Amino acid sequence: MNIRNFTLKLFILSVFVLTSCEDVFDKENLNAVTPEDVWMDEGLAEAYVNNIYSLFMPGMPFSGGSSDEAPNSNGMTMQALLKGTADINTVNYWPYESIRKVNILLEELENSELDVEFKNNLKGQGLFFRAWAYFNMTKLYGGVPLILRSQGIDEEELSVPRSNADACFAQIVQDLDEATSLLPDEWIGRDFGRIDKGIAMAFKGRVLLFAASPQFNPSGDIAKWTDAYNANKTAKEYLESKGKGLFQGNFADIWYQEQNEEVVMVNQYFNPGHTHNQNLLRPIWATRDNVGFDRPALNLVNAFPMKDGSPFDPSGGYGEFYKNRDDRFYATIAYNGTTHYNIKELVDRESYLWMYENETGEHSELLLYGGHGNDWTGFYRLKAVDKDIDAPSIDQADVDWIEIRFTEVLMNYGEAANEIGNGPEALQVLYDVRGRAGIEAGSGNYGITVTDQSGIREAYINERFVEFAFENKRWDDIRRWRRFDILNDQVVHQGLLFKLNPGEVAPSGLDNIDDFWDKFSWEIFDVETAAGEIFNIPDNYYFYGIPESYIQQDANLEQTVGWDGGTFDPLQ
Amino acid sequence: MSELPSTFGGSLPNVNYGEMKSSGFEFEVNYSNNIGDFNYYLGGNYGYATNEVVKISQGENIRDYQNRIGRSWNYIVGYEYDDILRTQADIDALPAGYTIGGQAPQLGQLNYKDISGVDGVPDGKIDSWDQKVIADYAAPTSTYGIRFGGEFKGFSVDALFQGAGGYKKILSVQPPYAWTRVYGIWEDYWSPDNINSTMPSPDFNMGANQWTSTFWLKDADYLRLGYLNIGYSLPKDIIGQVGLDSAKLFVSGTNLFTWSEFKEYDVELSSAGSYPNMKNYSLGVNITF
Repeated sequence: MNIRNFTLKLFILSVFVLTSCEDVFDKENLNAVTPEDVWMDEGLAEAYVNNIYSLFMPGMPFSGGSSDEAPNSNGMTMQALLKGTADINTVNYWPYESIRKVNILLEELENSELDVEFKNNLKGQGLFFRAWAYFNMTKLYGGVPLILRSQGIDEEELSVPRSNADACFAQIVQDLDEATSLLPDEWIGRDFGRIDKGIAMAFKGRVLLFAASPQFNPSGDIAKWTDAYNANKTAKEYLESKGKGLFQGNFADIWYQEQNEEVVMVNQYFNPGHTHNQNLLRPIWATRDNVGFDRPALNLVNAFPMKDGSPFDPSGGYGEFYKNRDDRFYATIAYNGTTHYNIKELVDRESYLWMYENETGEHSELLLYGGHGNDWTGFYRLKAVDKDIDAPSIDQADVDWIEIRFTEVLMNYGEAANEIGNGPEALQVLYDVRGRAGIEAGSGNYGITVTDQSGIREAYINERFVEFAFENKRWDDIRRWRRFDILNDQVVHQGLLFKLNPGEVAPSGLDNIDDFWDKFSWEIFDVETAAGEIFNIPDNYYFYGIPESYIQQDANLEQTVGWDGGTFDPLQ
Repeated sequence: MSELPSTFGGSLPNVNYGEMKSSGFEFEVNYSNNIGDFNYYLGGNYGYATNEVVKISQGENIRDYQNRIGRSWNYIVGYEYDDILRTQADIDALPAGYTIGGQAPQLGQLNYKDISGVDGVPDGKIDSWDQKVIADYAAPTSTYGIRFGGEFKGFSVDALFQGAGGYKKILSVQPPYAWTRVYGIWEDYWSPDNINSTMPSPDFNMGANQWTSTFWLKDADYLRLGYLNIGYSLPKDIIGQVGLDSAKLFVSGTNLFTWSEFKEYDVELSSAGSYPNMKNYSLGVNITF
């Protein structure tokens, strides 16, 4: 058969078909994807889920200023939540647009004819992020409307009342349990970092720890602590069976050695493609566009134990305060003379970090590096700092952000163990965490001298402060424990200023601080000095108010008790 | 559309929903005549326009001052200025626990009237419940212009006045702080040595001083001498001798003078930092061959 003839016939036939059956103007738009197509194609369905990651996945936090970890970035004012000037509009996390996208995913997967295992994996990820969203709202407001399907615009009643805390936690746990049953044990290759079974279990542990804590469990209902204990223990054992555990290298390398055994849930940064900006963390002479965040307050600096596990004693003065501290101190705090702050600017200058005032009151940072004025406390944050970038490339940081690391699961488990009366288990966790931080075992207790329940509780408070410094946990923990008093008692953030004694030679470059520490005097100063800039957190901040615009759009949405005459009590 | 609960989470297609009623009138008169050799003209125009929102998408649960229906498109919401807290006695006279923006009142701070609270009655706290409509119009309702001029034996004068009125503006002058320009109005600022100042303390921790309030609200009515031209045409018998058809000497200027209560910066600018209207002077000769 003549090919050309055949083609011609086919062409005539197809023209006939098109003209007879279809409107020629009703063509499919090849530049767009129809909603129906998404759920018939694995690539498109996966892209839909990837977008959900971009909506919820947390990035590198710079939130020290929201607690006693660090002052506010301007070094002068307290944040509204800390000085007690917040109103209902201060805290606004209301991701219902993103939740609707998850609900659409879950509904469409029900009707999709894609491979069942593939669908289950997507569904598990969707359920995880719905739980993620509701948990992060619940911990702020105490309880929110639970929207579990995509509502239609022509429905009669779109308004859904707020569910209380218990109901929210029950829904979150239900989603996480279902997700756990659907998700794979692990993702490998290019899928590494997706939500897997272990992440869902670890997150459930975090959720139930909050549900059991005084913020949500003021009466101390032991059953809630038992749930938290079981969930965290199960997660811990599961993760251990998958090769996870405490990272046994240098503590600082938890952030630099990617995909190590500590990593449970991670936002993986890479350059080029997915980077973040660390300009906020750097000194003014090693950054651009922004500055002043996460300058460690003296209270945090003091909290790091000594190498032998004993507490640091400020009454002995600050001359040798940097000596014989645990590994976490050297990985978290950059101080005058530190050799650990080897960011590119200092390596290029062949210098350690020098932060002191000379005899004439000039600051070493100004003299040596050309800028001073934003180290509000006399310290810089060192944890997870990307050292390879410099000011021009400061927005290209690629240090991974580990949202859940194994230590959190372990310490959640240990804290819950203590609350159900299992002190020895709780202590063993503290020993393991401290041992990894390079603290000496001593007589086997790693410097933890308490053995009673309330003593261990206090030990956990300090250990989490130190272990998770600048990991976006402190403020949540303070609220969870209902311990605003810890901040209020401090009044303000404090800093430490070293002054070179008269007649002494000023250290610079690669001088050894050990040869100079006794050439300085030091003074403690208040960072915030203006009237009204003090820790003054009232008790109604344990549950925040709902922003005005949401209340105005829905007359049935109740305001939280303690805010603008609100009537909704999350605990009722 | 903001009538949907925020928990709905979806966005709706745009529709032509809002409705606004605009009304007004304009008139213009012109007159010209001569008295002997004196030719003159006189003219003026006046326009009045207002608008009122009839229908707009807004929450069902809003406060009165947030309700845009029945109000003009541009109105100003803010606090009602009371006085500067000049002495400790002023602060002591306030109710116990009084706060401004959540913070205890400080010396040199602007104080506002406590007109309401969560429960609809004054509550000893100056917060968003104490706001109200402080100006019905933030854009001119009246605009007008006057033109006149005349010519007598080669001398001529042309002038144009224009102006607007019936509206108010917020004076926007940040207190001075490092690296910024200082507005002259801040010269008379509050300090313990100058308690009878016209301006509050420039301490930028007092963020509430910068709230939109009647303290910063000014009448923005103005009349401007927009154009003035004075000329003299040289007599024909003189210029004819040098071969010219006509020659006219003139001086003219634009934006020469403004009468307004609003003096700190040009009332027509949106803020003190905007590029200003220029004042122009010209001196010239028109020659035709």
